[in-house]
Amino acid sequence: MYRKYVIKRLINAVVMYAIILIAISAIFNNTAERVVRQDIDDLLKAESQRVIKSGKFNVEQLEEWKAKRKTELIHRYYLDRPFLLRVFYNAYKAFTFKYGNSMIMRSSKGDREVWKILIEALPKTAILFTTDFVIVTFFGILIGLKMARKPGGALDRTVSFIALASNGLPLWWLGMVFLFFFAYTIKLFPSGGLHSVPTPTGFMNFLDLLYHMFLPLLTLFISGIWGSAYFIRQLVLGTMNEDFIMSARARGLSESKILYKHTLRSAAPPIVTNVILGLFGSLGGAIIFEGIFSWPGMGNLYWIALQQNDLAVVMGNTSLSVFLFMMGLVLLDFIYGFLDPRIKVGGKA
Amino acid sequence: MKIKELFSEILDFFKDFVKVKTGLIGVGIILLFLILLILEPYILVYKDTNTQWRNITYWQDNPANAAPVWTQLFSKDKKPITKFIFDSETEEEDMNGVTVKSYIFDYKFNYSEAPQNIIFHGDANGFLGLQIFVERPDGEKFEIYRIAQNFSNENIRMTANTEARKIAYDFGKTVEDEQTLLNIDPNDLKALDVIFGEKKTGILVKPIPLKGHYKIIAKVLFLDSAATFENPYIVITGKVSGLLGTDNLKRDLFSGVIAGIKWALLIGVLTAVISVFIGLFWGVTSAYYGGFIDAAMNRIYEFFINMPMLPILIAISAVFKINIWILILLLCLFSWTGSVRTVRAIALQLKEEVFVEASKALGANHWRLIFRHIMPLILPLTFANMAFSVPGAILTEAGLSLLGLGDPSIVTWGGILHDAQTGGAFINNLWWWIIPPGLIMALLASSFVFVGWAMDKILHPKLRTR
Repeated sequence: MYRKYVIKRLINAVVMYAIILIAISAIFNNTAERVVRQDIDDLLKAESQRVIKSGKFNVEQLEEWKAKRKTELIHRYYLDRPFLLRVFYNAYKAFTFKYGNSMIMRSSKGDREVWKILIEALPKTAILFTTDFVIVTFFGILIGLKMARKPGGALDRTVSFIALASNGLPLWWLGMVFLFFFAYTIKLFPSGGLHSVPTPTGFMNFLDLLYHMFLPLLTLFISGIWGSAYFIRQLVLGTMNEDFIMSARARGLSESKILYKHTLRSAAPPIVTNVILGLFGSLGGAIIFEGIFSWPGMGNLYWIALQQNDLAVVMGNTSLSVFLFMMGLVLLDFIYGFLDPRIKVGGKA
Repeated sequence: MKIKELFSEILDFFKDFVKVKTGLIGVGIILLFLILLILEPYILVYKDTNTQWRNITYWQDNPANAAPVWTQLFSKDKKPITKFIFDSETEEEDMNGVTVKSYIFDYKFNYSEAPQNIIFHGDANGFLGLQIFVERPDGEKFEIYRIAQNFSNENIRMTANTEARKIAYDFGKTVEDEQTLLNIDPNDLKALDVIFGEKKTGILVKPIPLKGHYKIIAKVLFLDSAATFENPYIVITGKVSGLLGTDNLKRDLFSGVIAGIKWALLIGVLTAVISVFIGLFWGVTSAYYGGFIDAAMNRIYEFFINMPMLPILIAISAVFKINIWILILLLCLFSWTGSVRTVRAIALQLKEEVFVEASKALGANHWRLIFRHIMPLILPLTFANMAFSVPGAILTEAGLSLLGLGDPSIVTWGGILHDAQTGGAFINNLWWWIIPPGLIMALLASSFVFVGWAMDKILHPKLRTR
């Protein structure tokens, strides 16, 4: 039964992933083609200049050589194949994780393989957002439980209000403000990047990382903590009405024990869901946010690659982000299907 | 009868709404923005902000990077504010057959810093010689500009230039000792600081402003008989300007922020309304038909849910240089999914109701049922969704503009922030360029969240917690 559910969910996800890749490939291919044609023209111009200077060819020969060279280049970049074929070909390549080589960008070791460039950026995004999720969830639980103890109290009302307001707060603007104040006005923290330029080694390396990570983390924390606390308050209040809480109260357990042990435990699965979903979703990187702090993660990589028209990297980056996000969804469904048999039945119906 | 019912329902809604304080705050803020929007033509300090935002000459008489005026309110040392002087005394003399007109402008200077620049304007025609002098309270006289040129009926604009810097340096040289002179690069000198400084040691390093009455004298030499010169005036640009200061291109940021309101509102509201209507239609249709159509529509819905919106939006706008209307369409394309789930759930219940069956029996076709009977019933329930999707649209557009991908023909808050990022707001510590656009954006966006939350509370009482 469970196996059937897993297979069904997996096939569903794979098909959806393939369709999304085709769509992305179609969008980017259009772009890619313009860029590549432009590049070919530029290259041809430069080359013919050199040929003219060498004085080997007369005018006719030059034209002939140009035409030949152009078809050669167009063939090399697959521009002579039909559009749909190219879209499917690129989608297929992305589907099998063969992201190919980049045109301009290189990894720090000088590799041109897109895969290596991506694998370099991914941990940097991961470390920032994982740390953020851990801290925000921890403090969110603390504050949320405090709020749930006295619903309608001063703390509850204040935090709920700020949680609402923070929905309209642009994260990147908050980042700009913090950067402005902490890095430029009082010059306490670095203005961006992952490490200082002569990168220290050993334990100092770790401290240096923390030092650079502080501002982005602070921004994420300040904008995320309220929502997290409110979310946990809602969950906890929801379970407070359950019978088992009533029975715990009847048994004379202390209120804090009920709150921290019984309520929190039953509210744990949705919290975990939220964290996992958020984590997998964030691995694609926050393009604008990372840009503000020059954090060399996936989002920043995407933006730089797009600016340099390095479509192979752009395509690889997007496909990998979508893959990770969808994997998170599937993983969650598996866990839930395993824990809650009703879902499997529902899935079959 | 029906209208009366509707009216009483709306009245009930408002009675409930007034009880939710957060919602009232939201409505209040939105009303404030609407008032600002209506009054825009009157409160815009620079009336042509909307069309001339990227025209450098339109802003040329403002100081660059100037702080807001009110920052001077509580400080003892007042920085100069920009001053237009139109009144002048005219003196006419004859110099070897050439008519020379002198326009003398009075400027009372009692600030703690020298002004940023002195700009002379006038309508010139024919072959003219122009000289501009500054006469200080202590009697010293500087020539800050000189030109002889054939003009063809144009408005001319003259400012202290490199020549003035040299003259200022020569002036300062007489009172500085040699050691300091060695450390000074004449090219880094600010001419006006010296010209408005007390003549004593340190004038080139740390000038102390010399307060008193200054005279700015513009001498116009009519070098051919047909030459004319009219409407002379001077602008003495200060160090503070406007309610929110200026940016590095001398643009008045208050005008920019006010001009941005309508675009933010337009993008937010239009995107929200269109996408919620699409979501409403989508949810009702798929619930109503069920079966294969439902499954197919659900797949499409899933597809859009899983598409990474921001990367694709960024890629599209980077390549195609889209305008605001196409951007709104694209935003709708990615944000209609927000309301589908709730709508579908409600529609699934509604389609089993008796009135649906009754209409069917009376011969109503599917579309009539969907559009006339089910959708109007669910519509009020999606108002909360509408309010909730406004901030997303506003912030996404601002994000795109921040990256420099916005519509270049309009003034948006994101665009101002983009200019701040690239124009050195961070390095020059120009907080008035970074804080106000973002703050006003956050205010507008969160007010819609408040309203949505209040509506949600009233329209879905089931979801209320305690």
